Amino acid sequence: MNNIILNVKNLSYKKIFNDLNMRVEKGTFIALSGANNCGKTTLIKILSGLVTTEHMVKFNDDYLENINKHILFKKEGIVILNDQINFLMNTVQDEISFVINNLTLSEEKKQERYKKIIELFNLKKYEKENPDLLKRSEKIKILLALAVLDNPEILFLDDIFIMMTKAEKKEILAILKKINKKEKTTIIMSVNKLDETIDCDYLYLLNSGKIILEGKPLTILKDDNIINRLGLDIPFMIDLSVKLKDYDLLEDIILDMDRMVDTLWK
Amino acid sequence: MEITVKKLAYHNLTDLNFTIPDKEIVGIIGEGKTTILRLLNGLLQGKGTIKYNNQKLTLKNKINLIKRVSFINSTFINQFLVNTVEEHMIFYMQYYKLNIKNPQKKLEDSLKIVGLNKAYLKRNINTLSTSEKKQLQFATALLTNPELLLLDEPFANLDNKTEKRLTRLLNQLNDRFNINVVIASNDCNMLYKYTKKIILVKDNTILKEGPTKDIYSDVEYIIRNSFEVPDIVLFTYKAKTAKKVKIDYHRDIRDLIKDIYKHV
Repeated sequence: MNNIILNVKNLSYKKIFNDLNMRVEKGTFIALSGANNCGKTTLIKILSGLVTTEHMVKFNDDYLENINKHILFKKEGIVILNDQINFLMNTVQDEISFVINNLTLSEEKKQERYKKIIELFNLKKYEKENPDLLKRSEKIKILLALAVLDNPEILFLDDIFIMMTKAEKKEILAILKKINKKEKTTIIMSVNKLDETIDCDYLYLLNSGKIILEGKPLTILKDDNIINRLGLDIPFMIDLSVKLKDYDLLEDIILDMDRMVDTLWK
Repeated sequence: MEITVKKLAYHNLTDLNFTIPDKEIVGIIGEGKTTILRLLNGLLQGKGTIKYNNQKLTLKNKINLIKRVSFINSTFINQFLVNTVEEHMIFYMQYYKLNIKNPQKKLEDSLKIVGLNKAYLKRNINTLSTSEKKQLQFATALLTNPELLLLDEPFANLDNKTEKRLTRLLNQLNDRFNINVVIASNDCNMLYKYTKKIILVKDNTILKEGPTKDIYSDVEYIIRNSFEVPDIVLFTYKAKTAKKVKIDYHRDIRDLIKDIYKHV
């Protein structure tokens, strides 16, 4: 079996992309980032098959446009946020059960799946509440729960972390990591702030439709010149480490604050 | 414009007492911040008093007030259901019955001030990117020449460049035209960088208000009340408590580095 789940070759789309190449291995956690207008959302839409291209993107050995959409979308989970997040049902429980009922599973399996999802996303507290009245981060948790219900092979997330507090971001990132490790789900997410990319396996930095940098997040984020030029913020601890290195006060990047304090003042 | 709020209550929120001083950039953080912005805007009617420059808000002067206060939503809403940027802005002028001598120039000027050229007037709204939509929101909000700008998560999905441009604009408006700015956000790093005063909202009421630097300098208090501490403050705090280093709280990372260099 091929280990590559998504293979993008010479992608050109309107005026946005010109000759973009990308290979995504199965089970990796991938982040896409870049300044506004760089084509993050469009790329997510193309990779997920929401926007049709011709003979450019292969999903498991088949070109995206040749796969039956019904089969394709069963293998994918997609969360692309609208300006307003709305739900169909009156309670979180109904909302999730509604989607589970549409799956072809035995009654027992459905129950099991429901329990698992509620536990995974820690939704027990909100089970009986109206999803439309919840906080934004909780709404996004429900959207994520709905997206991973059918155990997709690949999960596409578009800028889900905006307007969240650090604690909320951390919680959702931990859940995503868990899904990635346990279910071997490939995750591709676009993010606006680079803070959320540190824990990813691989990071792509885009600028006006081109991949400028790619590789392990920590090695890329060290490159403060390029990142500043792109117009992005470097995560605080990396920024601090890089700047202290310039003053010869530090030898390597340290992400943990306590350790940083200990190394600086022995 | 100075705003004083006394014993304001709405829905869950009770006993809100705070002031927004004249000519300042103020931040609001915590649950209920958007509701407070809407109350200040006059969109929601609560019990209690809100005074604008010692003038009480009543239903009669509300219409006048709406022209002096602009609210910028966290996401762009095509509220007039129009196609182009120009139509959107003209509808806005008409909606607020603005008397503008040279509307065409006004449109171009307000686009220019947020960093969009006049070619954008003919652009379809649906083809704008996130950052361009945000810039359009700022441009439309400035059409009324407001005295108070209320911003709900203004920089949430913007990159560094656009954020800097807009904060520079806010600072200019604040300096030159004495426009008050109130920013509601969850992002404590951003608020620490840009605001002079901060209001903490917790358990449906105001927990504390005061100068941003002073409030965040009391790190233990912030953590005890389960608010988040800006990275730069948390680092300084850890160095201060664990190693007894005498460094100060800084807003800019470069100042912090200089201070560390002196004390290592």
